[in-house]
Amino acid sequence: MARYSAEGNHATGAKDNHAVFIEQGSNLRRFKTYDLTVGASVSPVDNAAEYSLFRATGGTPLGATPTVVALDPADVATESVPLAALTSVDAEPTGRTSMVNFPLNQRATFRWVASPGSELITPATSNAGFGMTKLFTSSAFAYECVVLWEE
Amino acid sequence: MSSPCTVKRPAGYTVRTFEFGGVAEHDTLQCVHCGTHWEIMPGSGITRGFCRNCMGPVCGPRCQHCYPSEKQLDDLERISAPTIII
Repeated sequence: MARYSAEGNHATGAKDNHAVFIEQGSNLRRFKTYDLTVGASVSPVDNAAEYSLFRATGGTPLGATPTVVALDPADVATESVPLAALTSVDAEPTGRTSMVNFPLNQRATFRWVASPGSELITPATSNAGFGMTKLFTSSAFAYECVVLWEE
Repeated sequence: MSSPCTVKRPAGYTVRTFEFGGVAEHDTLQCVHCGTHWEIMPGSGITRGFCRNCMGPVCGPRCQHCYPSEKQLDDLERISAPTIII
């Protein structure tokens, strides 16, 4: 099992905008999400938001590809395909299911870590994956996240 | 400072760090049927449950019928890539 990291950020940060989406590549295999960190790098003010780490069964229109870092440099490149955010409002991926929901003020930073054996598993089906979005926000503001997964 | 909300066998852990150094820590539990994680919040009033077949917590009434998460993943993969039997 190899572990990888990808960073997502969303410049506008409106509701239902996705910071990052990691989906299956051509070689289907299960992968497990086990760590998430969310925060805001811009000057924060009192903005409320509810975030969601979600799993989806279908594709997403996100476009650019963020850099994926293998946590162990000796590991091979990731089989999954990370997709970064667009700056406009994104369409909802098919079958989006929230797996970890959390409210968070813009001034705060959040981290979630799964215990070994309790990771979020993405099935080995085409275009399945997991991503990060805002379910609610009192004001659109940029946010960043870092997700770690193993495959 | 807040007090941590813990359970005996957590499925995960969350921590929020606030601007003036405050920290809020919660253990999380994971639904044995849908795989959702939720933070432990004593007194929240949210209805949770326990599956005596899987011997683990469930996230609420929508997951009350036993359909283990591993079985769900297997079914998803079987549906998306059906096996041809000759």
